[in-house]
Amino acid sequence: MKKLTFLILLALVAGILGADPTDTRYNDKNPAFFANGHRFFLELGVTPAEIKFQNSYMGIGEVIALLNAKQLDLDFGKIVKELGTGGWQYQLDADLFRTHLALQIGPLGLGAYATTENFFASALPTSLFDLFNSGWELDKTVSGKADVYLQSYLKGGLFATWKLSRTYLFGLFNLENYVLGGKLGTYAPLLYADNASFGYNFRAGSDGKITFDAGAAFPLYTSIPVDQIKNPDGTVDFSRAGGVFSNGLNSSRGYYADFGVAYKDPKTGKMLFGASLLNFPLLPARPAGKMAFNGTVTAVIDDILGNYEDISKAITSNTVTEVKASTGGDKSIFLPMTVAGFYRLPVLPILSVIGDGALVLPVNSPTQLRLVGTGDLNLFNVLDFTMGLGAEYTFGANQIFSRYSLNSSLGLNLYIVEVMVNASLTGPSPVSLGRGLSAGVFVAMGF
Amino acid sequence: MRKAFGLWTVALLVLWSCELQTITVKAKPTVALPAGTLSVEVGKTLTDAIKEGAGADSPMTVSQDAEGNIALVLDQKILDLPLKDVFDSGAIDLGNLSADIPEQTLEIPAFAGATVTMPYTVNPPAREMAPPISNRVTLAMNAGSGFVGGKIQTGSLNVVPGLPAGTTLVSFKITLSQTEGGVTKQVYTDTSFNPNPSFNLVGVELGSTDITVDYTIEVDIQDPMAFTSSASGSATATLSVSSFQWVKFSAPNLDLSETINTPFSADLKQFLDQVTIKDPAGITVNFTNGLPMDMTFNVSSTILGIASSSLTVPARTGSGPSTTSGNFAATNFVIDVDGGAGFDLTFTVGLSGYDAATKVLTLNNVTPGTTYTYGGKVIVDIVPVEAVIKNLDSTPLKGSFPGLPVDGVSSILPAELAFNSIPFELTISGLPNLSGKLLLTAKYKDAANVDQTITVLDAISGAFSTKADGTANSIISGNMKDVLNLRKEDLATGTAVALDYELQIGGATVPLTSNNWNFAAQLKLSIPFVLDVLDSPAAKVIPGEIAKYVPFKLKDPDPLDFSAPDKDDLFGRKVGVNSELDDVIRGLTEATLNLGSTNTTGLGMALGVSYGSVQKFAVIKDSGVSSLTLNAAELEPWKTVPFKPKMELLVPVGTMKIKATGVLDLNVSLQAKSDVDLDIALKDGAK
Repeated sequence: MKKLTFLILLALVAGILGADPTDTRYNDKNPAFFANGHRFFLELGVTPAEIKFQNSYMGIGEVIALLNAKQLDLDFGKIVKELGTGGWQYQLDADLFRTHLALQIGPLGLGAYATTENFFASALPTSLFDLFNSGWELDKTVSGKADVYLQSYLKGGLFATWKLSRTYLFGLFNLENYVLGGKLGTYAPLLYADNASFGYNFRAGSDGKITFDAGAAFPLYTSIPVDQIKNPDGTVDFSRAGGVFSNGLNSSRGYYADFGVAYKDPKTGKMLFGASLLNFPLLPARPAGKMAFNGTVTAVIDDILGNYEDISKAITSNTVTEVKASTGGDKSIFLPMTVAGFYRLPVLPILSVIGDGALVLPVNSPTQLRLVGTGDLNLFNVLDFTMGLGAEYTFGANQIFSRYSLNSSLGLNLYIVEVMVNASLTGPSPVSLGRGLSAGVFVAMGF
Repeated sequence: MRKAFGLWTVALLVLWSCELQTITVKAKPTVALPAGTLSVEVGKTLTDAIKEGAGADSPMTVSQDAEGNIALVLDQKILDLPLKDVFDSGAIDLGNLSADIPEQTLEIPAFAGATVTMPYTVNPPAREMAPPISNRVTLAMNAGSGFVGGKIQTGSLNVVPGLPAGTTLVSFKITLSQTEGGVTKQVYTDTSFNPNPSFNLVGVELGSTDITVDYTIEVDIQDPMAFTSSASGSATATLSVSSFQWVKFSAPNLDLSETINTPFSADLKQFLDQVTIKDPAGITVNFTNGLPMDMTFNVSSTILGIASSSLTVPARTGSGPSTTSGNFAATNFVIDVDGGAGFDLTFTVGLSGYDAATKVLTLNNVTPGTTYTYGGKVIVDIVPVEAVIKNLDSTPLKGSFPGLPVDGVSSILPAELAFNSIPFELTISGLPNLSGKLLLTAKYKDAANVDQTITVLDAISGAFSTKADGTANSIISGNMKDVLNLRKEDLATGTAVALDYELQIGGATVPLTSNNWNFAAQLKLSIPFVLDVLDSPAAKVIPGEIAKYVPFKLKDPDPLDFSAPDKDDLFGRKVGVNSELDDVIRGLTEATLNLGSTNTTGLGMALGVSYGSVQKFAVIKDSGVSSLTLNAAELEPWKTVPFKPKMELLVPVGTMKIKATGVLDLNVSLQAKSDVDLDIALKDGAK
């Protein structure tokens, strides 16, 4: 009984502090969120993994059903119709082991954080499927191209927040209850693909030659000094990467800063609106290793008539898949610089609607636009349930990668320990949700 | 990282890990499948086939006629009379060529300054007289070109001892020798005790090579006690010749004598009556004699009417060489070949001291340093003007083209093809301005081993006349087709056809030029490879085409023939073996075979495809695209394995000519509409 009473009291205390989507675990959107933790003094937050995967054709259910199915139907007509012009896209976001340690002393918040951010996106052009579906004509080259994005970083640093007391900006605007936040971080690319794309060409020539080539070849940068672990043939022995990784990390890393401001409603203790500038470059990362990725398939059928007795002689094919150490110029890699903002519209004391958006500026990174609307139902600050709709666009050179999502999260906050899980159904269009999903777990503890 | 690259990879991983057994692919593509360009050198292929059929040693070759069509060629020299050989012999070319003797100078060597140094060393002796010192040196002759040798009338070798201080000459002994042709000959020696070293060379015969000088010197030491160390001496010998008793020089160009006596051959007598040469004709001598003796030229020729006569060119005088010109004129300008024995001409040169065998000239009593010159021309001027050819009607030129492989050539032709009666081309060369008849008769033994003949050309059909340049080129209609159409079964085993010819020509007077001394006649028959394509039960009627087409097999085995049981079907499929191709073919709803063609063979052709009730043709155009379209019903048999349609190359009924360099370029592509519903088995047994 005593324990139950303790827990109820603890939950009430926690409710006073508030629990919503602008709290500390979302500090990657705005460093000022560090001042919106659920614990008074100290919080250790850990997200072991938050993974988003989506493709633009198959439903997740179909993929799962495929695991037990004995037959796979590939109706190229249907595929082409479903894909539209964007191709068969696939995206993978994986933020692994995101953690922070935050200390709150009055208006001042201090702490440290670390995370990995991994983003991969590419596509198979629709025209490739249409080649099978509609066929082709003589002497007309059919080709297609798709972007390949692979950006993986290791990030970490320190942060500070300051809740302003009555302060007038230019003597007019009262800044009381505004929270300023800032991060000073370092980062190092784990894998970074530069100007990468996948493409193919197909041609059936009246001279009797049918050629098909597909694949991608692009440089890959990493903080692993691959020169030190390459084999004589140029391939990289990644099993030895651990021994040289720390040295490479030190020489590769760059520095960046996040700036954020948010207004905290003194009545509800919730963040009402705010804005941030993220990944502002201070010093670019200069990766210690460079590799060359080459994954190509080439097939040629030439002169069938001339090789009528043995058609196999008319066919030549070649497949290359290799990653080799490479040399090259000193590459500067920047984090995707982003401007972001949010606005909370309180509906009821226990229900609010939050809209937030982010724009990744085209600084050495694909332009991305993210818009999220979230409904936050908070019951006594113990149970926190959110539902949201999101839209995210990555503007590539060849495709626009779109991801619409139906998000939900459910958290249980017992003050000392808080657990929150979130999950989303995603899809390339609002009507095709379910072709992707995301899931994540957040655990926080402190007092 | 690589596995994350591409959803296909992900999909493959999923497929790998799951229970999938079959992938069903559905699509309705219209695909264009180019098969490439097929270039068939029809002309060359047929030419090679004819050559192979004819055999390697056949007198019948394959070439092309004036229009570039393949033609069978018989080419043989039927007359070869090298008239020039009769009038030409040896070094004197009677074809208006000159024996040009460039001026030559004979220089008697002076030997001025022919000096040699003979070193020696005197060592301290045990007594007053030093021991004799012997040594050998070479005296360079520098005799000049052409000098063979000479006998010295007045001359000596003078030696200066060159003694070291403190010594006096006791004696100087010397031996001179020369090596010629590997033989060393001692030409002079004086081994007597000679304190005064000057050697008289009168009567010594010197050759042209360098002189080896062996010498021995003996000195007396005046004060042996004071002569304590070795001392060098150097003697010098100088050759001096004032006159030669005689000198020999090599003079091969003075060997001008020539005797020609060539009988007219029987062939020449059979063919030629007489040859006329241009008037005037004869031999002209123009010579400068700087030698100390007279030269005498003698010429005689019965057939040219030159009586034996001579021309003397006097020896040089005190003032220098003398020059004399003279002509030995012919008096007979018509050479009777038929009645004459042959061509004769004798040309001799008399020159005292000249040995024609060794071609060496000997000059007497000459002084060293004297030069003699001689040179000039001997011009033979005989130019043929015309020849009279006999009438050979009664004695024709006969010959044969043996072993004609007509059965080998006809064996490459199917029954529907036979040689046409088209006229063939007769070419005769080397017989100017005459008319004649060529009789051609083929002879062979038939299957019953009975001798048979086919008259190809008779006296009427074989009449021809030649032009001034000696050629006849005419198209003659003869019965060559009966010869060429003889097949193996028409001939006795192991026998061949021989084509005998008789060339009857009338008499004619033929102009000759200096470039046309030879009578050589060539007979060439160029028979166009023109075939009659005969109508037959196998002939096809192609919609839109007036002519019927019959099958024509270009190669054996025929690459279009899939009928052999062990041969895969048209698509390379085997009975009982599942092939992904089966599923692809099953999905075809329409197929169009496009034949883009460039046809320079001169031969119309068509491709025929037939199976079941389907019979389709595509006429191959000279330039353009022909199509052969099959609908779904017509494609139905394709799904049965084996699918072995009858495919044939067809040629139109009529006359068939093929360009020797004709090529058929085919650009083949298949355009197929399909409705693919394809099951791809991932695991054994799944379908």
